[in-house]
Amino acid sequence: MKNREVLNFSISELAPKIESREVSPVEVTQVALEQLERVTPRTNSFITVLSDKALRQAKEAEKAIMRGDYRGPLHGIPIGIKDNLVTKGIRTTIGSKIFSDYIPGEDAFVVERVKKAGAVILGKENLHEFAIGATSNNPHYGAVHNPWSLDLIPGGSSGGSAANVASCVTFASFGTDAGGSVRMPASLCGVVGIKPTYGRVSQRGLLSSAFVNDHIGPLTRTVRDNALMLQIIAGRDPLDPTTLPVPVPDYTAKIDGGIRRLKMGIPKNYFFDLIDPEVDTAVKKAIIALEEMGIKSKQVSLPNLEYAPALRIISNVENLVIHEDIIRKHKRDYGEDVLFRMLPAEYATALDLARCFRVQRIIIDDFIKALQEVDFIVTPTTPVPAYPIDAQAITIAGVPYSIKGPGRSSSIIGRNTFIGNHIGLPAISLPCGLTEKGLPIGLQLIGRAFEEGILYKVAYHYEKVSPVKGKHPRLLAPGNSTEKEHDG
Amino acid sequence: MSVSKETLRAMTQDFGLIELSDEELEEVLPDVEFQVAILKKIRALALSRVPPARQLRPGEDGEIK
Repeated sequence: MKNREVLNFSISELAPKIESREVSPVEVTQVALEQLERVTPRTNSFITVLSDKALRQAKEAEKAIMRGDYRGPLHGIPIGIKDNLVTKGIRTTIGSKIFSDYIPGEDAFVVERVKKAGAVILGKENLHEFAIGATSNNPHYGAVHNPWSLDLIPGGSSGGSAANVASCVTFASFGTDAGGSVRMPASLCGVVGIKPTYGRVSQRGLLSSAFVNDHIGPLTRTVRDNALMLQIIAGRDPLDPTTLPVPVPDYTAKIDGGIRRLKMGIPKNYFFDLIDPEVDTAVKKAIIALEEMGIKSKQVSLPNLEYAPALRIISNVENLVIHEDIIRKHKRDYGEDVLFRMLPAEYATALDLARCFRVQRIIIDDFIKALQEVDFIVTPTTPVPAYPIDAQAITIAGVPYSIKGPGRSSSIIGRNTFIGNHIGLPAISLPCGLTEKGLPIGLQLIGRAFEEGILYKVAYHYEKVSPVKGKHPRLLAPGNSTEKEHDG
Repeated sequence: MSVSKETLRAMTQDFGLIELSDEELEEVLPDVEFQVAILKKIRALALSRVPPARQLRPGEDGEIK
């Protein structure tokens, strides 16, 4: 096997080779670090690279395997961690200038879990400042570039994480999702990303900007790998009261089980109201593909989504409560986009906020009612594919929309994802097509609380027929020695 | 809906909010107006009988409780 070929494997394919000692964790890590050196000067996907630590972890992982202490499918696998998850002794910037020297004294819960599982951490990944935004155009650490076309955004806020997975630098990365920050970059970078049910994964050690709607979720190249990653981090954490003592099923055990009896809901309103025609076509083809697999479809109504903008006010107030003291001391050290996105929340009253929470409740009820009729709901993840990093406006179905100004990008790209953060239900994004220019399009499946297993099962079956199956960004794919610009 | 800079300045002063320069108030004003428009729309909703928010959990029969 040629060294770089190992980067083409999924975790599910590579893990047995590591367990059987056919491939060594040190070899995999060295090759991943070579890919990192080749790729990341263009994608700017890391804030802190941990080459030496990663090699030490890989050597330890190898020694453990040699003495018969194999810890499971993540053992010896190189992964990335978004830089808003604390890492003991390793700086954690949250993409902010203010925290550029912050070195936490402990690991986040999910970092503890993956370390225990034997993963090798390549570095801390670039993100939208404070994880508040959809582009990953970071004013302090530079914009993250989409590996499918370097002039384009990768989506955000977990842009570095998605770019690394898509360009085969990491086999998986952790993102966080308070408005779509796992699913949007998954969609725009052509990878798989899940926002689990609120309460499924501990948020301990997530330097969050929103208590009530933040989630940690894995980004991976395949659905099965995503299930493997969630398996490792799901479950109750006694130190995080937001987690619930709901048993964690074996996500991969039944992933290839039958789906013919399932019903899917197609929203009558909202999710297809503002959509790029190429995205619309790809998602509708995916729906037909799911129907051809035997899944019955039914239109569902979510009438209160008309009031969904109220949910953004909740997020903005949440963000401001967390940032208020820091802004008073360090206002000049914030990027304008993030600062001015939060400030309007100062002028919302307590009564307004209480009303917004009631709107949240009636929207939750819409979804709960719909999900009594169907097993999951299908939508486009993002209404548009990736657009240029320096874009001031985008055109959807011939109509121009300004994306200049605080929060404007999120209001377009995040239109279909931020709802999920406020209803708490699980939602996965997986690739379902490429535009004529070769840019990925994402399909979102939203399920019932704690039923990530159903989403994985449907996504796993769809992945087999997805037109994007096996496609990587041409420029950055391992094994491509031609350093030629991707024309996508 | 129109909101004046003077209103925002007075609120900032009276409620001890984060101090903003004239330019910053100018920048924030359109988004405050947008927010006010959203809030006006939801004030028209009958929300007094909405049951309290609750955590999501699966029931024994798989139904969401």
